Amino acid sequence: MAWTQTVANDSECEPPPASGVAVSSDLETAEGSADDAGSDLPLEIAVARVQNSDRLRRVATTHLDFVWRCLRRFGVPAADADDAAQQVFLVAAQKLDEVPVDKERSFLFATAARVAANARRSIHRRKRAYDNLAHVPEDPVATQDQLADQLRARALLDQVMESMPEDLRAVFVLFEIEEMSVYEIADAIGIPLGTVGSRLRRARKAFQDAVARYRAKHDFRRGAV
Amino acid sequence: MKDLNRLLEEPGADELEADLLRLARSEGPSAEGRRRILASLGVGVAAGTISAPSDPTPKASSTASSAAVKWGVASAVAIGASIVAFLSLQPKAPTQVVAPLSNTPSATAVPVTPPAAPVSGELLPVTKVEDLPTLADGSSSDAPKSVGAPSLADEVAAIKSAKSALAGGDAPQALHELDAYKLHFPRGRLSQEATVVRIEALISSGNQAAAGAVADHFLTAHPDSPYSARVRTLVGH
Repeated sequence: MAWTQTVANDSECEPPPASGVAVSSDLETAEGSADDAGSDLPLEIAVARVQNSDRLRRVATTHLDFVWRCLRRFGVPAADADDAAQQVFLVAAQKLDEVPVDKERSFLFATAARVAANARRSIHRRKRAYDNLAHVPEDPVATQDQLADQLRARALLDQVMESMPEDLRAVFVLFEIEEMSVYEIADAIGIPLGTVGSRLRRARKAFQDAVARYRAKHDFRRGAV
Repeated sequence: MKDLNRLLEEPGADELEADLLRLARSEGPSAEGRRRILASLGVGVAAGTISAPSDPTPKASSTASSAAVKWGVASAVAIGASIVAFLSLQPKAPTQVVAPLSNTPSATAVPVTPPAAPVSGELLPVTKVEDLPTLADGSSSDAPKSVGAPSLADEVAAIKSAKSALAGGDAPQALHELDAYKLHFPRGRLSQEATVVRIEALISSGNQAAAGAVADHFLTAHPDSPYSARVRTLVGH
């Protein structure tokens, strides 16, 4: 599948393949509708949204959390993740006819990776604390300290994931967070099984190193007080 | 290739690493965010069902490690799950009811009470009564077809025609086309798109006040529409 190349090529920021499922042009359009309110949402997307409404409803309700988490792990701030998820499903609405049912998750992942790449380029960097603050769960019982802990934990998670190269991050997210099998990942990203294994090992190492770095810094500061 | 264990499943997994992974697995859009996203796609569902994705992601273990206690991560996970349930059960109108996306084929996005005025995105038709087609002899070919539902392709053609007129600088003709659309497709599935074109045509024809009124009504009826940003920009909101 052409869309798998978007991640397989380790080139989320590069132009997409010219053939196959043309995710890219839709993303530019979808992104434009959100980032550049002066552009129009093409009639074709609206039509597809209506024509595929039943399937879109099922796909969106089934995979919304998956898409949202993938966007977050690929660096979309929490405050922007809802809009980015909407973009992913607007693209999906137009392309669902071309996506086999058993490839929906793969397609959504590839689309989310590209939306995230576009979002990272276009979103002005705001203070991470603010972004996370905008997404603090409406916890009726948590204390201020607990909320602060949640904020710090999310900030650390973002920081650790950002430290990981994107090709490794993709495999790590799908395996360790989304709990897909290596076979599913190979199919979703379009890489050989052996490559999944090697990327996963390197991703784990990167993840563990980042946590260790944080711990060392944290322990150092705590010891210095 | 033998499938591997997850880090979380490995004995002796680092507590902080495990906590971060649990946190990552537990994240998702808020109940309100979920409602808004689905509504914007025209596939909104009733509030009572919005927090039940069938995403087969196992939830984090309830075992609270010392690191989890320190970080509050385990509580974030557990509390997060309870929050979703809590929010979806609260009788918090109006967010409990998905805004009626008229002209979208959502069987579940039903308003609580029928609106007194049309909530369609296609509003304020400027057709005069005398311009309406007549059925003088009962055989007028101009009358809306009553046999068979109009196809989506028909709607697309009608809106494209209006957009084409507008692109050609003929705003009055575009408005005329949109009036015809409204007549033929009173519950058109592309009425949001038609309204956006109408606003553009009204602006193009110098009728800012009418454009603003249509835009205000549209934004009230469809706050989560993919066109909301576009409409706000058009009328300078």
